Amino acid sequence: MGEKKQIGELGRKLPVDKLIAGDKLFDEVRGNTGGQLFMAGEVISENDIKTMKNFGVENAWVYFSDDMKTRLEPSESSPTFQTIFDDIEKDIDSLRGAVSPQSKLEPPAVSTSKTTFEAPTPATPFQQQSQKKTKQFVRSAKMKIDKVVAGMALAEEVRSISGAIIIAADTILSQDQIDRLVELGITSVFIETCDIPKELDPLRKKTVIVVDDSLFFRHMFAKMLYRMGMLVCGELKSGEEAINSALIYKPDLLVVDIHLPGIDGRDVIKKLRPRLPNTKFLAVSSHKDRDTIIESLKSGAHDFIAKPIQWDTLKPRLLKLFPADQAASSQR
Amino acid sequence: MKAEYINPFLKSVTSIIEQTTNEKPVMGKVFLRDGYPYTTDEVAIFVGITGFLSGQLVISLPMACACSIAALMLMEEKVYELDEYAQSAIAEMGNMITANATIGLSEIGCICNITPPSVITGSKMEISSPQKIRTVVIPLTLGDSKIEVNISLIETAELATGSNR
Repeated sequence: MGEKKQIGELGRKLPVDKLIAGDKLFDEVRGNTGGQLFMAGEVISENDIKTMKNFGVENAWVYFSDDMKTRLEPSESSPTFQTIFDDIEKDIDSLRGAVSPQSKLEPPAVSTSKTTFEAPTPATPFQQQSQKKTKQFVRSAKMKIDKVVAGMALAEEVRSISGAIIIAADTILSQDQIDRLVELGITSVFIETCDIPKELDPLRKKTVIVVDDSLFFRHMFAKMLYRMGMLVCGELKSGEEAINSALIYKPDLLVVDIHLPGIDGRDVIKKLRPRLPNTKFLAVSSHKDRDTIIESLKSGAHDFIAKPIQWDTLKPRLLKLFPADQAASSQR
Repeated sequence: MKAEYINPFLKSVTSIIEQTTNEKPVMGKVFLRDGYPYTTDEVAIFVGITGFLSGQLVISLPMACACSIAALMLMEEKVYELDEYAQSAIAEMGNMITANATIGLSEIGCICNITPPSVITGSKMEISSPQKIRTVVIPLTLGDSKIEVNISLIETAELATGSNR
């Protein structure tokens, strides 16, 4: 695969058998607007395609890097290339919008005609603000665990992302980890490609289990923690699941909602804290009254954060739980 | 309905919406609804309140606004429809607003619990209350969207005796 390449933001989903791999295509993306083919070997190799097919993967996300875009600037020899690229870009925007987070779990049909995409409605100032503030998070997807491919030596980055499909680098999940997760009944993981700030190095690859009965918070925590370089190996919705999984997986961090159906978060922490001495417990709750906070800390939580949880709040608290001088130590 | 029951909601609504959207909503003049039924916008978030007080909080907002809020909460570039994740996000906003308000209520001795939030979508949805519990409305403007927070509360003891004022 050669040196590590920067994956740009532009991408689209294509049938795997339409991907073109090979050294000869390293320097350009050969594409057409119908979505039939394009991709260079620097993003995906022939071997990767074979592996994906072996896993029953039918579609893959492919991305243009920024330097590719530069190379696609119109030249005298190819006066229409920029037009093609613009068309692809429009399709990508529409396609990205058509794929909701939920639908990412199952691969939507890939249209071969750009005319089927609905033109996006003009964004209001509020929506524009929303788009601007969240743009950095777009390259992410939740994936079914049995579709995560490990051991592909894809270096530091997840190469392609899609719903039911795909690919994670062995630096993110090992086959052993996947097997353990499957044994635990965990059916999906969250994978994101992003640039992790240097200051978050102490959090890098720390394993986390998130326990919350709210789908939204599980989803958001997974996103935030991945963006901090952590590995969310489980998103669970009950205290019972949390206890069973944590005892087997022994995560570095257990994020647990205090108010859970059945065994509540405080009892989860009380039961697990003595048995998982190396695990940090972070209690969260929408209820930020004094009693809830005190009871959470009394139950053994290392820290408490009130919802809604924001990046700027979470980051320093996690760095406090995992200080830089302990970054090298691990319980496994 | 006593004003002191509404104050925690006033505080909670603006603070939670600002935290979740990073935009401070502009609050309009709070008013008392004429009666029932009243009509909500395309999306309504329901959270029930039990305990010393009984009733519910209904947040009514346009679909586009709900999608924009969900996009911000989910850190997505754009949300085009209220799918499972988006519904969960805005439901959580309703949950946080109500949970936060109940803390304020507990500080004045009104211990309340809340029910899990529900999200209902549709057009011209009519809300009725057989008990005719009075509804206070907090109108908000977020960007160019209008949001209404309807708070219908009555003291549980009062409800048991059949009085609703």
